[in-house]
Amino acid sequence: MERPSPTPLTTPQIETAHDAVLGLDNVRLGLPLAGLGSRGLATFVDHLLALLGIAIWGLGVLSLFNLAGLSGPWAVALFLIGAFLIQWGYFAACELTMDGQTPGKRALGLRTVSSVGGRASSAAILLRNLLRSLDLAVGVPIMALDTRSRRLGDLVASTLVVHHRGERDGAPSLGRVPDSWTGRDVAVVESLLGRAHAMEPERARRMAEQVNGWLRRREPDFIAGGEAEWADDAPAPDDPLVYLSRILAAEV
Amino acid sequence: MDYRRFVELREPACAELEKALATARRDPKGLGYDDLEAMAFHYRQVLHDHSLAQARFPGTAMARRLQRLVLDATHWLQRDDGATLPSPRRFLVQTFPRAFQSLLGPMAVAAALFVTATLFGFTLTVAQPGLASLFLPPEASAGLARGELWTDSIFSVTPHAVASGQIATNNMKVAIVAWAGGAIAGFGALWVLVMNGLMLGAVLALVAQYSMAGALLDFIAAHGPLELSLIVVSAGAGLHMGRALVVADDQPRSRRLRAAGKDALVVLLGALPWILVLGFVEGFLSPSDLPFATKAAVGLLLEAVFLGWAFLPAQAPAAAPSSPEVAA
Repeated sequence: MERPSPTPLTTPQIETAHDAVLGLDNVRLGLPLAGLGSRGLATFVDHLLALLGIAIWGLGVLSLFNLAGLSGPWAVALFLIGAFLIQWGYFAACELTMDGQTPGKRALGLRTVSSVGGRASSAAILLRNLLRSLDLAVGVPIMALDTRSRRLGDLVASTLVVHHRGERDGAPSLGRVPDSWTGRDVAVVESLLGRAHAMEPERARRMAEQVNGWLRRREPDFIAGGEAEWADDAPAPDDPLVYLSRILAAEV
Repeated sequence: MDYRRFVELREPACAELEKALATARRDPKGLGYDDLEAMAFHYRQVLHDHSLAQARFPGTAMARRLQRLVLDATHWLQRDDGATLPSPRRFLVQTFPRAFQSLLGPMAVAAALFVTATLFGFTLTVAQPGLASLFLPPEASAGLARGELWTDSIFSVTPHAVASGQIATNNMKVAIVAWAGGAIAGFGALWVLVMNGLMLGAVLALVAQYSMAGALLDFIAAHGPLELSLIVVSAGAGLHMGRALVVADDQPRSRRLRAAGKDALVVLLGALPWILVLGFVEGFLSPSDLPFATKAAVGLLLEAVFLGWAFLPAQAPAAAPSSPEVAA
């Protein structure tokens, strides 16, 4: 049977807001753009690693030539050319082989993507990294002025650097939610449970107790239903944070 | 719609897309048409759910999960144009010659600027030799006054192999800076062209004044012609980017800058290996005692081979593969 005519999977590059990146069907992607600080830190880490790579390359070349009993000047020439390639090729080689990331970017949770959030092309990656030499002169002012924190290489290559989080971000999701809760209520409670370990224990417990009290007053059926699910297995916990997590079936 | 209902309804699509992405990451080549079609269907569904979640339930676990999925799936499904590098053969016979020939205009401008700066530097130095110190390092001027080319002192203390490495890497840096500097509205490329032209003019005037033109000509015969051509070519490619930024057109500047950047990148990538080779020619052949005719023949041969390559009849680009079409 003949296959029906497919709809092309294309992304219109129309922008309705200055900093909006739109995806398929003009849906706003909400790309978590990386700013000057995180990008600068990642670059610093990468420069350190590149320097380390040059040092290792130098030691390797010298050791190899010493072992083989070859002429020293050729070792220096080889070191110079290798150091040049590492200095100028480190960023591009990493981004090409590590799916838009360098070790520094990976450490900071960043990734280079195309202007619509897709995979940046090889040409774009080479272009943005060969233009890195200008960053010392114009990089910071351009990034500071650009609403998407793009440096000159990003502007020419049409790329963005975004935060790339792992599979899970560590914040809990609630398995049970009262019908009356809005998205904002859910987000606040999830945030409390996710950040409780980093807060002053007494403060976190007090806030959890406030939520528990509100639920007992306004949602007695919800509380009863929740307790019924686990009352047979265990008594109600004393710690209000644990109680809140269990009544809302919070999962990390 | 309440949050709980929203989560219940969206869970299956999220789980399907998460599963499909995991499979795609494990074995991308194992994906068939139907798998891609299903993935695109779930992607579109999750994308719209993400939009709704951002509006109605921002900050919730489901909204964060949907955003993470959308970003991952967009990254996986959407490839930028020209995602793969051309094969070496295609680069040699098609990509580079075509890009080079399309940039002849800016290269001609770069060559004209370089020649003008050289003539200006020459004229200034002839009229007032003291002005050469503006463009040349003091030790080079002092060496010429003693009847020595600055290269003599370099090769007398530095082994040829080391000097070759230094020359090659330094010239490649100059070429990259000239090229990249073009992206700042052409200013960087102009700076490199003008400064190098002024320096060359001053050197030519000084060696003529000290009757050392023959020695200089003998030194630069093998590497000079192509080296200067490559600096002009790199700066010309940079000017091409600068022109895309400055000159108004019916297309947005960002789009023109990107297109210009791609051609300019190809030209630079084609020029850099030649600069590396020239470093060794300059380090070994140029200071050698070989006859001038041999050095000049090597210089002309290198120039002819490069230009012969650059002016290869550029074949028409192969039809670009159409976008993956997926019923979604």
